[in-house]
Amino acid sequence: MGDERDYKILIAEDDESISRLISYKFKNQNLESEVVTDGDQVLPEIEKGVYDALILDLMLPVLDGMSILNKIRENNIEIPVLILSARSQEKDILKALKSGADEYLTKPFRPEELIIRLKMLLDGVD
Amino acid sequence: MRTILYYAASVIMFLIVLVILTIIVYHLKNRRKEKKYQNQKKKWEHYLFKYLAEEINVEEAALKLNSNYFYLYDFIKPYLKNLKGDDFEKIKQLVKENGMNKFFLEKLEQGRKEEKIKAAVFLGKVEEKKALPLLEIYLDSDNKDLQTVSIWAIADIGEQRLFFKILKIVLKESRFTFEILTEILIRFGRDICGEIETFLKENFYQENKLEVILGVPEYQALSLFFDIFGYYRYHPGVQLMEPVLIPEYNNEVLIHIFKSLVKMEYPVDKDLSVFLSHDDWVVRSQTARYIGVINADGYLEELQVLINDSNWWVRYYSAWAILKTGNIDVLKDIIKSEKKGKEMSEYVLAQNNI
Repeated sequence: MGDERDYKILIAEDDESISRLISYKFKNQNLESEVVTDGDQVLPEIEKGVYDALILDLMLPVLDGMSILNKIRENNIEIPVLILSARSQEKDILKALKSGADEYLTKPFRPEELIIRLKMLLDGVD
Repeated sequence: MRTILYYAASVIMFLIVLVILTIIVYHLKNRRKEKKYQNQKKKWEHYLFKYLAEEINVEEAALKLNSNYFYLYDFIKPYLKNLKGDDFEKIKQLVKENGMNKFFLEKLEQGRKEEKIKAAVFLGKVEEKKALPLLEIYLDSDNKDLQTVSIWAIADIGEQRLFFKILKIVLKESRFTFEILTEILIRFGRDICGEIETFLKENFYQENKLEVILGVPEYQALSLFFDIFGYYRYHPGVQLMEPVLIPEYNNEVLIHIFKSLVKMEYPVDKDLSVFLSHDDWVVRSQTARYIGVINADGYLEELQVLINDSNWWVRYYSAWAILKTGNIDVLKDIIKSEKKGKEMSEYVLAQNNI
């Protein structure tokens, strides 16, 4: 990962305990983050064009993660998407990857693994 | 008469005001309590994050998170549910250090019904082995809620000694669906596959023995065991599947065998043609899928026939298996010559971006 600048990550996660913990861990890694808890907040945030990656929970209120992912890819928004979901069945993982997710991590998860995978994604983008 | 009416109206008015006041007081009290909890939560969160980031040690963290254990339980629950690895282990260490485990062990023994339930869930999540003697007793409880949480807690702790006792209970209880049964049993961890293998080797080949021991039809128990083998990709389990991998055997078991073999991506030394012509469409479709997964030779002719099957999934997996076994030209030829199966061939090729 380049050291030149901090990356900005959007975390779409309705469990605030978890999103705050991720943000805290990110801060120690020089990763800046914003949190949204409802699905309908994700696209307007992404469209601001200030984020380097999106961490997306599939089970979000108002608009679910799969619909968000489909809209992102339909609108040709080039942002790496890492799915962080409790859905661990193979069919869910394949569906998300086929729909354009770049990474898939199942809950329960290791925050360190999330950071490593995210950094690898960001490196790929760079 | 007027005085009585006036008196009655006053009493009613008074009661209404009293009820409204009670509601307001109750509401305010709750709000204050909630606000207090939110403030407390913020403080706990601050120290928990510092502890997880190794900025403070476990003793220091335990001193900061050591009151209101029921609230603390609600606070810690999302972390126990969503984290694994080092952070999870650290939280386990913290709740041992701050007295939470001790508190809930006492509640598990002497608490009210709902406290026992909460305690069982918590102690299961933090894998507290000291809870096992009581949890084992609660497996026989008349209280179904307590019995259920005890089952989950023992599975979370992974106490293999109690695996078969729990198996017998859950198999008999209609409130557990097959998916839930599998989920409970896989929580015991991969090592349970060895226990199942030994159990089957000892009991499987004797007629009706499984049924007598477990109290359910053999096919139910076998389906469950083979599912667990598949989940953990337990290859030694295949030798136990092979003797019943015959078309006359119970359809349910055959389906679970093929689903497990697909997960394992493990080839068996069997002629699979007989399953491709099986009466049950699920068996046919899963066999075709399995052939594709292990890239098995020699079934192209049968797969070409099945691409016209009456069932959509059989047609789909047959076309998919033709593709996966390296016969893309066959699919292209079906499309080109407008043969039956053209639609499915097109679908599968498009799905694979071809």
